[in-house]
Amino acid sequence: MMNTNSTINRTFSEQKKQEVLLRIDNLVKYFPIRAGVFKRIVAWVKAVDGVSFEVYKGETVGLVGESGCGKTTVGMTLLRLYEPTSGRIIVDGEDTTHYFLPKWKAKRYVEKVYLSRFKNNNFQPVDELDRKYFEIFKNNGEEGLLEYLIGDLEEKRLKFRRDIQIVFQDPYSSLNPRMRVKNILAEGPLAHGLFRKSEALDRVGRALEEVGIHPTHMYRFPHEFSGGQRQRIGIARALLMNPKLIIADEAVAALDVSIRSQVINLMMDLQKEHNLTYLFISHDLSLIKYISSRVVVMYLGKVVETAKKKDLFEEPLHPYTKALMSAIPVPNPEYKKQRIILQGDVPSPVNPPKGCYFHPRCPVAKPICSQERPELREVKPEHYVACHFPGSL
Amino acid sequence: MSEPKPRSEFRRMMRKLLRNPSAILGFSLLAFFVLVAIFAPYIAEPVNPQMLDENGKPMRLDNPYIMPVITWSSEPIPPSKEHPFGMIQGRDIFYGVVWGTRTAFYIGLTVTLISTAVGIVIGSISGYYGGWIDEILMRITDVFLSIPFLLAAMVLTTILGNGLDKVMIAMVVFGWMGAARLIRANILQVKEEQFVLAAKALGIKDFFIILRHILPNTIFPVLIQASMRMGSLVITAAGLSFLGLGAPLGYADWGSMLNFTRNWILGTSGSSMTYWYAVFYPGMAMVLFVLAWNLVGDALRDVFDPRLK
Amino acid sequence: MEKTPLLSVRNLRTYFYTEDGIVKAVDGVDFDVYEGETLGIVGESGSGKSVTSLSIMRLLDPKGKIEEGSEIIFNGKNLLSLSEDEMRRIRGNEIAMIFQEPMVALNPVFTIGEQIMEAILLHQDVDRKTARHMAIEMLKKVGIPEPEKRVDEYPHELSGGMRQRAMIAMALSCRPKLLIADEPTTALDVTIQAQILELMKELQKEYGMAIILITHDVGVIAENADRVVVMYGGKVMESADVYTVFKKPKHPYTWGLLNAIPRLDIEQERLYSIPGMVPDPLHFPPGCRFSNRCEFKENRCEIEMPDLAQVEPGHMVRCFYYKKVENIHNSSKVGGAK
Ligand SMILES: Nc1ncnc2c1ncn2[C@@H]1O[C@H](COP(=O)(O)OP(=O)(O)OP(=O)(O)O)[C@@H](O)[C@H]1O
Ligand SMILES: Nc1ncnc2c1ncn2[C@@H]1O[C@H](COP(=O)(O)OP(=O)(O)O)[C@@H](O)[C@H]1O
Ligand code: SF4
Ligand code: SF4
Ligand SMILES: [Mg+2]
Ligand SMILES: [Mg+2]
Repeated sequence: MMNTNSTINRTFSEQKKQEVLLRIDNLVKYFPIRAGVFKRIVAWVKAVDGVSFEVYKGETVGLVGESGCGKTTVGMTLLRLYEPTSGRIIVDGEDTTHYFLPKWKAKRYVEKVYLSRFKNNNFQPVDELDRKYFEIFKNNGEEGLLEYLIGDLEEKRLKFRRDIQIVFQDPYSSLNPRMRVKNILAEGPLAHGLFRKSEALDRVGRALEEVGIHPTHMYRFPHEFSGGQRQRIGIARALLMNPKLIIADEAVAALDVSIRSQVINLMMDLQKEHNLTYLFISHDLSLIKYISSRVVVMYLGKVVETAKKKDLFEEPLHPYTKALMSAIPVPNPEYKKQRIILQGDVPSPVNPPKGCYFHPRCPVAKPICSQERPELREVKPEHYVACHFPGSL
Repeated sequence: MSEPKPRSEFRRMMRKLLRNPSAILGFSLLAFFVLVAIFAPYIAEPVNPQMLDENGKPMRLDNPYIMPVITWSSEPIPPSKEHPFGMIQGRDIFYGVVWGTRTAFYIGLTVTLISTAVGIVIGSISGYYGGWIDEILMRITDVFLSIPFLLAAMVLTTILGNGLDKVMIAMVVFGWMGAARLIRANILQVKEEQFVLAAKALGIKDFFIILRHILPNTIFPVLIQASMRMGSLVITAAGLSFLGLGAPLGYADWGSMLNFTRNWILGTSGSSMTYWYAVFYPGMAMVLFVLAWNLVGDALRDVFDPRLK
Repeated sequence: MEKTPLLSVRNLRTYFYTEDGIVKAVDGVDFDVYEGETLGIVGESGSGKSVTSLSIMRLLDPKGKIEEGSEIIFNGKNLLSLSEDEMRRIRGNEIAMIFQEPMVALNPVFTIGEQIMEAILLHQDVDRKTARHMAIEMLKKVGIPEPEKRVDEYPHELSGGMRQRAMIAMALSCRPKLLIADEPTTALDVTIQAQILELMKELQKEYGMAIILITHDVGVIAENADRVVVMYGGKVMESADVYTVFKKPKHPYTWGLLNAIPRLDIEQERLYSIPGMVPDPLHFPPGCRFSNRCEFKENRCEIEMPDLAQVEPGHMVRCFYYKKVENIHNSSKVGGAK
């Protein structure tokens, strides 16, 4: 696209790379399965089982995978609508993992994750966060760091709620059927004092206009709109909070094809205008290819491959990614593609297979695959794959 | 962009109501009872014709709810021009039925409002917060549900003493569980709806989430249930009165009036229908009252969902 | 061309008489299905795909009525003039159907074996033991592992993909001449969808049956259909063989649809957006059903409904100005790949 001056381009992209907006570090979310009279926990659904990735400012990361692989759970845990089982969620260079815990739990978290290590004499920082917090620890002591991390939790929570917003999948359930659009849109900003009540009409009207809905419709109820329009209203609701990151969980999946492209284009236009960052969750690889700059592929609660969009689609290295791509029907009867039909179903996340989670279905599995779990490693520059034999399919 | 036709919600609802004959019947009956209750002093003047005041007019009653004794014959007297519903225990049945309407509304509204409110609070907390709070509240609810109501009411009135207000307290204390369970079940469902998650993601406080997002979407079934209960509550109260636990003797209450008939209910030997009017009019009032609320509840159920087109 | 079609639908109109008015769910649908081929019907939700298939099966709900003048000729018989009894003999035997949500179509209180056996016993003269044997054979054929065990399981014990396989086994147990598959893979993951579509292809080859494949996914159509019918607002807008529809669409709606989807095979700068929204069937625009969203429309389109006309052998288009779309093909590369 912009190959006129490659050096400028590179420095630009490297600079961009520096600005990590969101970093998820080994995120784990298990759901308990309870049974019996005493509701005892009999097993765990390993919905998200050690997921790490980064989102840079201004980009769109596509999170893709089949149903049940944990995409929504990642989104909900990120938003802290679920509490993570373990792992860290780092937003704008601050650990936010403990924000929504009660104070004593938050303190315990900070002690466990940072203080216990910092107090060790031969402590070595492993990332920037360590470096930053260790600095505070050295200068202001344990109390100082605790104050920095768990002081003003209420305020931090509010800021977090402004910075990260979500657009949901279901246009029918995502808007309160008994509220007028005006109130649906103004509720958040008013609660955060982003604008005054007297400005509400004006601001809501402008937001509606921006997503292509006539401002006079703000007095209507959700059921008076079509699916596509409701999705636009959902987007306006997120926009009005001036978020840094918008998570879109299958935001267009429920829409008709002709409406889908309207909403996708709208989201891309808004991104340019407001310099938004998206985490775009979808099961649809074609859509992910169109909208994202980087892609994270999940399978059974784990990231199997992540790379820049171009690299991923030109050369998928994980056998699952490759099979997924070949399974996407292409609307071109002349298009010849490698047909890889995976056998069997996705295993249950309650009892994932030993070794590589994909080995029961992997066409190129070798004996080691059922023994050792492959770690996510950088196989090519910025191209991470969790497979013992990347590129072998 | 073309737009869907805005439909007037209210007009749609009215149209739907007017097309449903049983709804019309329900609302008409209810309106009739309301009118009777409002205009009771004009329909059945609260005076005692046996006693005259200084102007020679029949004396006004201090408490219109205590039916005046106007004849000393305790045997039921059949309907006549003066006393269109007949008399029993020396009291005018017509007077009792008319003023009993007020009592019915009083009992029904008070008990329903308070017990539903209690149920909503308990059920909302239980459903929204879940976990151990839910566990505790629901076990308490189960305990209350497991106690037979009549027994509990009898025990409670023995402790508190007889009287209409005591009966009403008993009905509230043992009457909130249905609403609590219903609203909890609804909340569990609505809680997972995406608009509630969206509100959480916006950082809205729990109290407002419950108030603005959850209750408006869960409360209608409860209100409908409540309106259906209005009728049956009056029957329950009547039952208690019949057992002599409720309203005092001679109180203008349909149940107490039936209590009078206890001795006459079988009629005279050979003709069991002799005193039919003593049972018929208060009983009929009760049946129609229950019917009215049931039909209204049904009609509301049909109409009150904006999602049901 | 000289072949006679297995099924021919002519001027099918199915209306629903509802409280709010007459819903013209299907309002002029014509197509032919030949032996052994796959006809794809594609369209957005509400375009009348399902009602078309239910009309062929005569399984409409009581509010729906197939209007006078409609014809559904199957194997030389007009299905619309058959008695309910005669129709029952055709359903499940000569024409079978599979649905989007197998959970709805399968009865939860019977094992899948019992349900397949029921279909067999209804239409074939065999005893229960043979029927059971045949059921197990069918399950094996549709790739269900351990069919002897699965035959006694209930639908909820199977995964979505397995249920759809069981549905197919049931539908094919009597070797129908025509299989109607209404969104058979919409509820499934793509890797499972690929399995099911592959299975349907194999079985079609083996049994030589014709398939009507209904879906909103143009990709599925491109990879699986021989000929394609594009529906919009209850009407057929365009029909032709699959190459023509995808490479040289002539209807503005088809053209727009193909350019509105993100795709793996080409780079796209920006998706085309068909303006406006899918019309509600009570308020279709006057004239051409697509006229309120069409970028090629002229005044005439808002007054007159164009006919489905043959523009080339085997290529039917319902548009006055299809030449305009043709011109775009000639002038640029958008619309279809390269
Ligand atoms: N609240 C919950 N309790 C128990 N299990 C859950 C819960 N939420 C999700 N799961 C399980 O966790 C796994 C991942 O679910 P998740 O919704 O994240 O998948 P997904 O990738 O978003 O799938 P889809 O594409 O179907 O939306 C699934 O096995 C699901 O059943
Ligand atoms: N039973 C019914 N009663 C009334 N309208 C119906 C009924 N079934 C379908 N319709 C209407 O008919 C139109 C076509 O529906 P359908 O064939 O199901 O569409 P699709 O192409 O998505 O399969 C829609 O507008 C739908 O609302
Ligand atoms: S590790 Fe082995 S089983 Fe897993 S994807 Fe790679 S080759 Fe396949
Ligand atoms: S007839 Fe007119 S409105 Fe209809 S598709 Fe053709 S150009 Fe568009
Ligand atoms: Mg999901
Ligand atoms: Mg359909």
